Amino acid sequence: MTRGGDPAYRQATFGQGYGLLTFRVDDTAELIRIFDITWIG
Amino acid sequence: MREADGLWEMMGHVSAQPVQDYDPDDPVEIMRVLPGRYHEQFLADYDAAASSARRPEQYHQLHQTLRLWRLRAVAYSDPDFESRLEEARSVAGDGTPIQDVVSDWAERVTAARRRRAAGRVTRSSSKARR
Repeated sequence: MTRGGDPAYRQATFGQGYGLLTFRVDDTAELIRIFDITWIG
Repeated sequence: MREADGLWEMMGHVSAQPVQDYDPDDPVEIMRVLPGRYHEQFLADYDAAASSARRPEQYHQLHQTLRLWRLRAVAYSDPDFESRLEEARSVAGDGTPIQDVVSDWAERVTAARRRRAAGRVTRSSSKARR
């Protein structure tokens, strides 16, 4: 998912849909920066 | 025996529960938690997923969409979320190498490239058949 047209902004669910990881990806440098982890389990 | 007495007797083992149980994936509940600036995007996604759910094979997509937005509602309502996002955006070149987070990253990239290449072949093949 992109947010506000920002292709580096990504989200992924984990933990059978109880967790959400929000991060930015630098595709060129292959770097990842996780800046939010949400858990509702 | 009065009719009402019989009714109470029949209900003797029934506990008083609300007609509708609380459902945190309820769209109304999601909108209650989700900051207002995201409501339009949520409603568009919800509308699309609800339309798709008419097809039996896409029924689960509606549940997945609601669960994703429930998670987003919790994340976006955190007062620090936006500042962390801005910080992540402004610090260029900072981050963790993907292969440190995803141990089989190289294999995944190779597999993705292979799938993409196979997809191109399939699409061009189907075009050639037309």
